[in-house]
Amino acid sequence: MSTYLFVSEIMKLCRWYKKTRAYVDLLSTLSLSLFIFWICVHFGLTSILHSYDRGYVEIGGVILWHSIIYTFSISIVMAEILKLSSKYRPKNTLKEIIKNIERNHSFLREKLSCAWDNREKEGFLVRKLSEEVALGLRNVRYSEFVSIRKLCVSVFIIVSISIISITPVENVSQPILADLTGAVGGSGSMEELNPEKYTTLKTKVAGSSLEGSEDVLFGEASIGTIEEGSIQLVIYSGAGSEVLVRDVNATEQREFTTSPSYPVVAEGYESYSEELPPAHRDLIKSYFEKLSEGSK
Amino acid sequence: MNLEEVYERSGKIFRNLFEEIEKVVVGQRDALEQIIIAILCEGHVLIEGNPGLGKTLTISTLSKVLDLKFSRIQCTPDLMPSDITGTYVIEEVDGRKEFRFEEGPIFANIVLADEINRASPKTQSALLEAMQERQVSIGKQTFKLDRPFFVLATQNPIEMEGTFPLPEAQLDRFLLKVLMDYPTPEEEMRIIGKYAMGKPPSVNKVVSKEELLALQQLVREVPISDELKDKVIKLVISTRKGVPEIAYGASPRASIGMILTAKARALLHGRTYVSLEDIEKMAYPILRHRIILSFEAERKGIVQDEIIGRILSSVLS
Repeated sequence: MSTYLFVSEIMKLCRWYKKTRAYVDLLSTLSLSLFIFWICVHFGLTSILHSYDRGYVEIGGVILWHSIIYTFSISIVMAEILKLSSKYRPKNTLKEIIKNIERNHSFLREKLSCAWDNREKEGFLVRKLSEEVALGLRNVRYSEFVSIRKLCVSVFIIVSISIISITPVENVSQPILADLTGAVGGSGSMEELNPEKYTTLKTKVAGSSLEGSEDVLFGEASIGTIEEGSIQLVIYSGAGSEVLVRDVNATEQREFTTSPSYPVVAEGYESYSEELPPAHRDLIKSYFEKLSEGSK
Repeated sequence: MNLEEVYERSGKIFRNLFEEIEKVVVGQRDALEQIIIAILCEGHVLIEGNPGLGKTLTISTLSKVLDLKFSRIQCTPDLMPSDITGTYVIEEVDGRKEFRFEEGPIFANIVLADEINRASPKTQSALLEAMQERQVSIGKQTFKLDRPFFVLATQNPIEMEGTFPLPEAQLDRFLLKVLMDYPTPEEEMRIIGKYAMGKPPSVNKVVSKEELLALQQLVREVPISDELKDKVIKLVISTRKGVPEIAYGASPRASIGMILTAKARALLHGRTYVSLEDIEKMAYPILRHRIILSFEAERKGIVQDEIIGRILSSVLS
């Protein structure tokens, strides 16, 4: 192992560079993946995948559609393939660092590579050269090895796509809205998504689980019906759709036992606070006073 | 002698050396530098130039400044090998006749062989053998030549009639081939001032023999990067194939010579490492006498330096 001081400096720099390059590569792969993901979503790949698989995964209260996961996986793979097929190949980190230093510091040009190639040799002139190189290395800053341009481009892409992703986009919500109208009895076509039209949802009668009972508490799966009204439905694109459409299956008939009744206690809701204007407060107070007078 | 001390003083030594020589020799800076580099590498030099350009003056001045024994051999067609190496002479000592070896002019530190191409091949071989072996064999005895030992041979490009051009194998023994050209008008004015008016200048010794030997040792210590070594090898190999104008390329002696002279040049310029510029500058004197041009190239009037320049641009770019 060489005893010259500049060798340990170069090795330290090399270790830092490898670590930093890994992070920067990860960031650029992520930004490329997000860019490809956005293109895939924009051109409807997510919709196509969603038509084949409408499953979802709930993670911490956030709903992630399988189609979104598939699209993101495809974009990561494509990003890696593009990176592997690109012309740039870092061949040798040490040589790369030495060339980089020599390019940025004219004092070290040719000196550093000569000193590095002779680091295992002993000799008066080699020692003198290594001292000159060690002196020159004091002016080298680690920040010279980080490509600010590449970093800024990656961050810009990530931020831009993130902003675009959280903005409502009609195409992204298409599969979700179509599925919703299908669930409520529509054909799932775009025409039915016109908010001006009425959507009638019929309630099925609630039924009881006890056989033969005329009082039905629970029964067939019911879908709420809103008659003669209009629904203004806003669905936001991106992760975590606010509309959950589940497959409606027939409910199972279960036997229920009568539970003892508990006295109803009206307790104040501690977290609820109501701040009414004084005039309203008086009005409500007088109303209940009259109501209690009437009941006596 | 301590190498570190010599290195610390080397800058001043070289500066004084050039200053002292330039008192007598005007111009010819490049040729002078190449000759000093060859001396530092313990190599021999072939100097080519028209008459009257100061070839002999340069070498004799150098020997005075370096405090080395100098001898001159004027080569002629009737020169015999014994005229160079020396011979046994009969001497009468105390009434008895004995053979005594009389040393020839080759027994010097700096030997100037003027117009070597005028000497016969047999005489040329004797000289070249001494250059290679640094010893002279006469009969059963071998005489070692003193260190340092340099042969600076000159060739006159004009008078080629009745000459014996050195064979290629013999040319390879010279480390460098140095070209001396005519001085510029300003330089010629200074020459007139020195030699046509007033007393010609004289020089003093500035480098001792021990210092010179230490500097020669120091040259081999100068570090060189692997990248430059690769470039030198590529350069020399390029002369062997791929160039239609070259019939025969340079031998591995050229690779050794190029690296050694590049190291010497680096030391001469006060650097502790060899740079690309050293390789570029030394490529010409190293290769020009080692590449044999094809007949077609000679017919077209192409010179070796032109081809070397082309190879350098393609390899070193």
